[in-house]
Amino acid sequence: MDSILKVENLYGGYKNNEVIKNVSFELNEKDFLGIIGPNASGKSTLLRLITKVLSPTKGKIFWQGKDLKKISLKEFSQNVAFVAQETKIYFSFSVWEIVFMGRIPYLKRLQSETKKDFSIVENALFLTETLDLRNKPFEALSSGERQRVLIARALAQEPKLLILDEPTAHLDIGHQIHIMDLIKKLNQTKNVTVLIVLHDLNLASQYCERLILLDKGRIVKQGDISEVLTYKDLETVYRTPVLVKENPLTGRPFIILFSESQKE
Amino acid sequence: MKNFNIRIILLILLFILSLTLALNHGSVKLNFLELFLKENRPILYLRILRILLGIIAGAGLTVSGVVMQAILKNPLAEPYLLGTSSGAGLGAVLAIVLGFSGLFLPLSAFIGAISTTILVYQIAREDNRLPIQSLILAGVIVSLVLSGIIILLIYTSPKQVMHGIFWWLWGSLSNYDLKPLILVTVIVVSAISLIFLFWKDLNAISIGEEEAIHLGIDVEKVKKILFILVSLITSSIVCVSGIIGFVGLIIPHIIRFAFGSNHKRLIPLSAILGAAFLVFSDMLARTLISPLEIPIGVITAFLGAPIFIFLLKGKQKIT
Repeated sequence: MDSILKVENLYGGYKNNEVIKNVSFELNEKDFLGIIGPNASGKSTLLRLITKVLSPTKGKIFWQGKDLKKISLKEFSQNVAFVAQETKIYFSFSVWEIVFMGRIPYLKRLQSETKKDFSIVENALFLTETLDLRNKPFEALSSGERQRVLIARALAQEPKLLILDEPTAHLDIGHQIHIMDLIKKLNQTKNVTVLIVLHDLNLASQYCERLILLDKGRIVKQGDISEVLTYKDLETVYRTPVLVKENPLTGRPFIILFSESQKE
Repeated sequence: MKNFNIRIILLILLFILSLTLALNHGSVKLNFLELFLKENRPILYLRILRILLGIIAGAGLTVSGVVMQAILKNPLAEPYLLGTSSGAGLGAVLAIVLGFSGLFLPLSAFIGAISTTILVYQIAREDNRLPIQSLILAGVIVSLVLSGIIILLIYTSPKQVMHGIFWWLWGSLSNYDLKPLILVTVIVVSAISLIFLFWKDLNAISIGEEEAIHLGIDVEKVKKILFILVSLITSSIVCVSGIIGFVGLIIPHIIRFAFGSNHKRLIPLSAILGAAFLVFSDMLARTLISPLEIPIGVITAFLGAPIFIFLLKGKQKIT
């Protein structure tokens, strides 16, 4: 297995606030790796460091064996695409225009879009079942549709790695499954490697192959689903009682929450 | 799509109409054919100069407004936010009060505008980054202070220089000198063309800075380049026309309302409408109470405010 992303003893964050402390992990091709952890545990910050929005204070990140610092933003964005939790739009763009932005990494300054770009954008819309929405204004879409369109834009970047920051945060359960199934399909049929931050532990358990449990900027545990999703670790990190059972349909861990007062 | 082409044709017709009106009307009443007689050549020449200045200033201010609104993600952003207007105003007023004239006046305005932009930039800067909130605040604070100094200078200066000062602070397209106009035209046209090359970057940045980074755009570098171009445009325009408000604020909104926010269309179409709007405003400024001339900033404010309110109400109905 080839590692495409390698994070080594990473430290970083914001001015006077080092959020991420000594984080190391590896991401192999075709992986489906989830990052879980309580609020303010540094999940989004870690993604910002990986996607070159922030630069690390210490430690190294390698993309396909090459130091991330030596890779230009343009080259990086041809390989790695990002889907945010929620995208606020201040100005009016059509769905087509939004998805088309995914081709920006490939276009030179003076170059205009070619037939190839058009067919890639069309294909991305097709894969995410958003072709019908192409002429609609983005701001008129529902949250679920928006998320699919943003995934379409990420696909238009033809990425090897797709990074998602809580893509299901504002969706109802039906749309959550719809989005997660779509990501799974891309992972399995298009060989897109997935790195995903999830709040919902059960979604993480059902869809991810491996997990990283993050707390206060440090990795508490990483590995297979059943190794990470244990009641002991979850209770210490989230500071609330949980019950971990086996999902009868999938055999994967299933987390049940209950109130502190219900604990005998 | 069909609808779309009609709107573009309408826009171009509006542009031509505004140029024709401006050519045809003035403080001297002439019909269209008389205008081309030999003895009326000087009038024709002056009108063409004004129209040219109107096109350049209108297009330049509007495109600058487009850029500022996209980068600051703020619909109230306008080209003067970087401090060019108050800086140029102070430079010009100082020059007038000190008794300079001729080419020293626009030069002093230009120096005022550029140095104010640099000051705003330095205040807003954080290491190598330029946070947009700091930029807006720095722009507002510096403009306020400079406006205060301008008021002080006006208050203490003799009556006869007042007229010249008002010319600067409310703008005018009366221009009798070809040379500075040519220089400004070259600067503005090349800066607008360069800005157009950034249409993809502007699309991405107008959605969000992090989004743009994820699309491979070096946001801080692009922002810097665009700010330099905008301050060059506004500083050079303000030197030949004084401060003309409202154009850079409203025209981009009208085009966004009619054609969407894709900068590939937004930049050229805004330039056309901005030019038409300013040429038309200047025609009104010249003729409404002729032979007196109303400062053009007064006209753009009176025309612009109702349009702005109309757009605002229209938007509220949609959302």
